Amino acid sequence: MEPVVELQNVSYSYHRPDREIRSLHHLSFSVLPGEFVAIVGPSGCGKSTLLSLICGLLQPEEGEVIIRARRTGFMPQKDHLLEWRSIFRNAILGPEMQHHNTLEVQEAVRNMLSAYGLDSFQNARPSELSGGMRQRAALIRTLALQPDLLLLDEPFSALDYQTRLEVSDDIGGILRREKRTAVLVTHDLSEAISLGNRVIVLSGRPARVIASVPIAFAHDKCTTEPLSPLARRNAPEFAGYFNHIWKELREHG
Amino acid sequence: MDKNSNTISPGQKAYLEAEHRKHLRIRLGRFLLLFLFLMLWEASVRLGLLNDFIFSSPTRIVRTFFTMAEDRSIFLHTGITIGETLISFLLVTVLSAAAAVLLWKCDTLAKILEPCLVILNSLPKSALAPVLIVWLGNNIRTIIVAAVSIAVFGSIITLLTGFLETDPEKIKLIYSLGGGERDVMMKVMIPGSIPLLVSTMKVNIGLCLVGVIIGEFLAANRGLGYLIIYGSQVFKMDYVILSIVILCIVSALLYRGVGVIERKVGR
Repeated sequence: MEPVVELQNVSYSYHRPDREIRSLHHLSFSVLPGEFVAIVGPSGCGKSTLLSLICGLLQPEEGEVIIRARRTGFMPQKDHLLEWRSIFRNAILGPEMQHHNTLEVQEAVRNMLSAYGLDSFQNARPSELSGGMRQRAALIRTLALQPDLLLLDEPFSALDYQTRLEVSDDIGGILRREKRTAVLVTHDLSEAISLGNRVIVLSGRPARVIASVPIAFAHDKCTTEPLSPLARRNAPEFAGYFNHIWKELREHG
Repeated sequence: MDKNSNTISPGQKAYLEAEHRKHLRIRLGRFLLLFLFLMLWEASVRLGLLNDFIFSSPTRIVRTFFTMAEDRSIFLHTGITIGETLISFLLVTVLSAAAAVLLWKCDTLAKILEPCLVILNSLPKSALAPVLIVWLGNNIRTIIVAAVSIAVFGSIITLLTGFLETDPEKIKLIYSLGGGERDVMMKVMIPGSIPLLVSTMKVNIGLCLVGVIIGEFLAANRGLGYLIIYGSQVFKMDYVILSIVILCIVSALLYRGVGVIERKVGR
């Protein structure tokens, strides 16, 4: 299987008049189709830069970023719903800008809104929604373009703890069910382990890959229904993975 | 729905009544202030404390108004001033919005022009008026240009600053959803700057009125500014004070007008 995302020796720096900030240093990894890769690392290590590179918003200074996806969807830290648009008009923003705002697309978006419990909020303003609902609306906005690669930049960090668990369970479930290839960036180890098939551990700035830890739960091997992100947190293997990644981060980060 | 939404609790009723009384008191206070001021003015003139030749008086102003209303000259002067103000306001709004968008798109140009904008903005524009008369003549063009020059530079700076404060994350979002610079402008920057645009308009309508009056002081034979200068030169203070009273009303109405626009776009 050809990887959907392939990074080869990628380096990137930010340039300021007084200094140069080396963000990524000869970074290489790849993501296979259907994989859910979680990237963890100390804060400020260049995780968001990495996503901007994969998304094509930045060009690498060295090395190569190869993307074999038809469309890439990006989900930012905050929902950034536009207050002057209704929830439906926010969700349809991508197709609207790509000029394929057809009736079928609108129907698909409406179906997603009702499937994710936002049916009665289609014409509401973003400020009328709770944090979790806003995040779901933002996910639908990303999914409306039918991306086959999803990039999630700490999408739950702006939420309070309880909502965060609920929404990550929710959204993790949605993505797993639809078998999307996804790259999640987070500084929360539990979140990474509960959502990912594989956790890539980055060092501090300039970031390089310290470890790539495949995540597998015994439960998933004997049933067809995989563990939900919340159930994973209670699975016996969870603590082992947590300690392993924590140690990698502390010793090499 | 709350089952109590139709019946008002005694506490809520008392609160509403107190609010209503407060409202009435404020209205009454405003009316009394105006009434007392006019009474005091009129009485001082009648008692000989003030010279009505210099200070005019409410009754003299009303009489002057009706005399001038008979030959319609007061409506002509007021209409000219309002018309000039609206034209220059429209020009300022269009010019400053267009210039701010252009400078937002072209960062280098904005940096090059920044010192010019700052100097032109802080320059007392009344100093330009005599130059404008020589260049453009003793006519309405001078007045409009004077009014536009007073408001336009500050307006460009304010709008550009607002545009540049557009959340970079929102811009990134537009690009990640496959939009271009045009989409950033139409979907995020301009809709997000509507409140700023309206508050700038509120400032501009006042500044345009100032500019028009200054222009009329120097280069007009009609309009309220002209009437003020004419009145003071021929020592007819009734003209001057009447013009000022009308100006107060006009500026309040124009400000209200922008307020109406604000409520329309606020929805």
